[in-house]
Amino acid sequence: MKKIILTLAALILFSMINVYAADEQDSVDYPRLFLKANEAYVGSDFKTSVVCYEKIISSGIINGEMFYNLGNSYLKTGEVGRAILNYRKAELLMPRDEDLQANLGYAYELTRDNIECKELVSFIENFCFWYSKLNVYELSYLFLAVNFLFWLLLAVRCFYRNEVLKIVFYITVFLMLVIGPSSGFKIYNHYFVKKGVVTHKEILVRSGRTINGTVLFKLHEGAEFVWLQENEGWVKISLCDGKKGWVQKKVVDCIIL
Amino acid sequence: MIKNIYHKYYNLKTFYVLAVLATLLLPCSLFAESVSVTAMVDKNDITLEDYILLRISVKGTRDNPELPEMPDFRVQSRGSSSQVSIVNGQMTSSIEYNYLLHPEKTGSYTIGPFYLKDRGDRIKSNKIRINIQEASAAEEASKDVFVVAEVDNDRPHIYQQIIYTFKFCRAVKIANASLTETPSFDGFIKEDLGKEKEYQKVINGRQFVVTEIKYALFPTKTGVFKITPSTLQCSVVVSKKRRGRSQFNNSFFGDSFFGFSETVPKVLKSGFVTVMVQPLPAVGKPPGFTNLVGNFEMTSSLSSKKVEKGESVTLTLNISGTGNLKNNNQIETGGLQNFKVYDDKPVFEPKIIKGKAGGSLVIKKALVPLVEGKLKIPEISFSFYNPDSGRYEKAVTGPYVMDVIPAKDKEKFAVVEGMKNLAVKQDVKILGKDILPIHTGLNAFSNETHKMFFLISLILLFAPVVLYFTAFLYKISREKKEEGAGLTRQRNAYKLFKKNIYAASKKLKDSNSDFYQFAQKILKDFIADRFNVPGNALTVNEMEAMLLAGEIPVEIVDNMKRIMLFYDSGQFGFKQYSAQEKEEIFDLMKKCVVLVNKKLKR
Repeated sequence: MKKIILTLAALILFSMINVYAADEQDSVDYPRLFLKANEAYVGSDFKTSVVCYEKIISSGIINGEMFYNLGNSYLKTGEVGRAILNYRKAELLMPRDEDLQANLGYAYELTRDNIECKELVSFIENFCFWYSKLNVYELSYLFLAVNFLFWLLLAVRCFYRNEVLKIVFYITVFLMLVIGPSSGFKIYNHYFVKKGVVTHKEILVRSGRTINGTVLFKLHEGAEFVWLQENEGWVKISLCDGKKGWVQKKVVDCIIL
Repeated sequence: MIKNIYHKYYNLKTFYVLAVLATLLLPCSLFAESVSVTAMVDKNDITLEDYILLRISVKGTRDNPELPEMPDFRVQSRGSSSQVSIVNGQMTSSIEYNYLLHPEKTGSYTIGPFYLKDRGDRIKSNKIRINIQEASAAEEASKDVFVVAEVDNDRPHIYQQIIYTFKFCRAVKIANASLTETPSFDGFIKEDLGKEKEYQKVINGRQFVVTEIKYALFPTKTGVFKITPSTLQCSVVVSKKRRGRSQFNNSFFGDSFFGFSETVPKVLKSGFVTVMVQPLPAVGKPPGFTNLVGNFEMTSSLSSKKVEKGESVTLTLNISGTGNLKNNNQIETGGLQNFKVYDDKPVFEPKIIKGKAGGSLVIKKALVPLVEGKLKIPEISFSFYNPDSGRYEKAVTGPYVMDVIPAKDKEKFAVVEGMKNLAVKQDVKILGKDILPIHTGLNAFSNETHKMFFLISLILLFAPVVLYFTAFLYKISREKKEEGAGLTRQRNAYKLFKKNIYAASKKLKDSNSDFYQFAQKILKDFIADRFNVPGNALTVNEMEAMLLAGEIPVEIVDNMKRIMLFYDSGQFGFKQYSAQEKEEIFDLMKKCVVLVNKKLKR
C-alpha cells in the first residue's frame, strides 16, 4: 500500500515537473516576438525577422500570414528558394490572398529554371475556378455541406415530395458531381502528393543515391518538383516535364504544413 | 613510231614508280629530316598603307607554328602550301604558312620569333625587323588608290552644322571595297546626308573615280575634337607580269576576266580630322535663346478667324531651314491668356537642303477661346544664331485677330482636328519591382491547423447517410405498420357489420328511429373497412368504382347502388317507404354484403 502511495506521489510530482517545464517553454512571449519580427522587417533587418518568424512557426503556430511574412523576409535576404517554400506553404492556407500571389509571382520571376508543366492540376484549375481559390479544408467542407444537403433531401423525399424539392435535389446532385471529384483530387494532392523546392543556389540531380552517380541535370534555387521517395539522405524527385533523378535531402525542402 | 610509243610508255611507267616511292617515303623522310621553322617577309620598310606578306616555312613536321601576339598589326591568314623536293637523292618537305600583316601605327617593330612544338621541344624561328612610316606626300600624289576625310569647317560654333566627307579615290580597278572602321564622332550628333555618291574627278592630271560619303555633324560641346580615321579595305587589280612580249599584253586581255591579272589587298586609312568647336558669341544673345543654330524661316496659319466661344481653332506653325531643328523643336508662344491651349505633338520631316541637313517642323496648337469678342493672337517668334551672317536672328509670324462669337445653346464643345492627337495615351512604364509588405495583424497567430479534419470529415460524410437510412427504415416500418392496420380493419369489416346489423334490425322495427342513416352508415363502414379507406365521406360513385375495381359482379354493384340510393332518399328525399320495402332492402343489403365479403376474401 505504501509502495502504491509512493508511486502515485512520484507520478504526480513527475507530471507537475513536466507541466512546469511546458509552462516555461510556453513562457516565450510570441506576440512580442511577432512584433519584434515585424519591426525588424520594417527596419530592413531581414535576418532577424527570419529568425523570429521561424521561431514562432517552430512553436507550432500554423498560419498562412506567418508563412507569408517569413517568405517575404527570405526573399529580402535573397533566399529565393526558401521564400518560395514559405509562400507555397502560405498558399496552402490562404490561396485567395492577392499579396501572396503577387509576391509569389515576383519570386518565380527570380528563379532561373524554366520547367514546362503540363499537369492535370493546371487543367483542372482552368476549368474549376474554385480548385485554386479554396484551400483543401474549405473545398472539403463545401463538399461535405453539399453531401449533407444531398442525403437530407433524399431523406425528406422519403416522406414528402414536390416540384421545388425535386429541382433543389437535382441542383444538389449537380453540385455533388462538380465539387466531389475536384475536392477528392485536392485532398489527394494535399495529403498524398508531396512537393518540394530547391533551397540551394544550384544543385546536381543524379541518376542514383550516390555522389558518384551520373549528373542528369542541374536545378537552381526555387525550382519546384514532386517529392517521390526518400532514402538514406537522398530524395527521388520528378519535374513536371517528366525528368527524374536523385538529389541530396539537405539541398531541398518539402512543402508541407 | 612504235619506238616512240614504247619510250612514252616507259617514261610514264618510270614516273608512276617514282611517284609511288615518293608517297611511301615521304612520311619516313619527314621524320628523318631535322625540324626547323623560318620566317620571311617580302619587305621590311613599308608605309601605313602597305602590307607585309609574312611566310613561315616549317620543315620536318606538319604541326602549325605558334603565332605570337602582334598588337601593332592586323593579321590576316592567306592559307598554306606544301612542297616536296628531292635534291641529290635527299628528299625534303616543307609547309609554308602565309599571313598578311597590315600595320596600325608608324615605328620600328620586331616580329617573331615564331615557335613550333616538336616532341616536347620548342623550336624557335628568326626575328624580323619592320620599319613603318607615314605615306609621303610624293607617294600620296602618285598613288592609284587613296582615301580622304575632311570637314567643310574645322572651326564651327557649338550646334553649328558641319559636313564630314569621306572620299575614296581610285585610278585603277578595285574589287571588294568595304568600310571596316568608321569614326565614332564623339562630341557630335551625326545625321546621314543621303546615299553615297560616285563621280569622276581629275586630280593632278589623272582621272579618278571618287566615291563620296557625307555626314552632317552638330557639335554638342566646345573644345578640340579629333575625329578618328575611317578605314577602307579593298583589293587592287593589277596585271600579272609576263616574260617577253606577248600578243595578250594589252589592256583588253589584261582584264581580270581572262585571268591575266591578280588582286592585291590594300588597307586605306584616312587621317585624323581635327575640329575646334567654339562657343556661340555672347554679344547679342537674345533672352530665351534655345541653342537653335542654322538658317530658318517660319510661317503660320489659323484654321478659322471667326469662332464660337468654346470651340477651337488650330494654329499651325511651319518652321523650315537647315540646322539643328530636329533636336530642338520647342517654340514658346506667349500672350494666349484668353485661350485654353492644347499642344499637339510636333512633326519633323527631315530634308537635305543644298547639301545640308535640315527639314521642316510643323507645330499645331488647338486654341479654345475662353472669352467672347475680338481676341488677338500676338506675334510668335523664336531666335536662332545664323552662322552665315554671324549674328543672332529672329523668325517672326503673326499676329492674328480672331472674332469670338457667343456659343449656341445646342452644343457647347466641339471636337476639332487638332484635338484628336491630344490624348495620346502611353503605356504605364514599370520603374521598379518589389514585393508587397508583410501582414502585421495579430490574426497571424490564429492556428489554422485542422487536427480533427479527418474525424470531422468522416462524421460529416457518413452522418447524413446514416440519417437517410434511418429515415428510410422508419418509412418502411411505418408503411408496414399501416399495412398491418389495414389488414386487420379488412378482416374485421364483416364482423363489425354483423355486430351492427342487430342494432339496425331494432331500428327497422321502430318507425321513428334513424334507420336509414344508421343502415347507410354500417354499409359505408363495411365498404370503407373492406377497402381500407376513410368511410365517412364515401359517395355512391366512389363505392361503385371501388367495388368494380374489386371485381365484384355488376349486378351486386347495381344492387349496392340501389341500397345506397334507397337510404339516401329515405334520409333526404322526403319519401316515406313502407315497412315491407325497408325490410326487403335491408335483407338485400345483408345478402349483398355477404356476397361482397366472399368475393373480396377470394
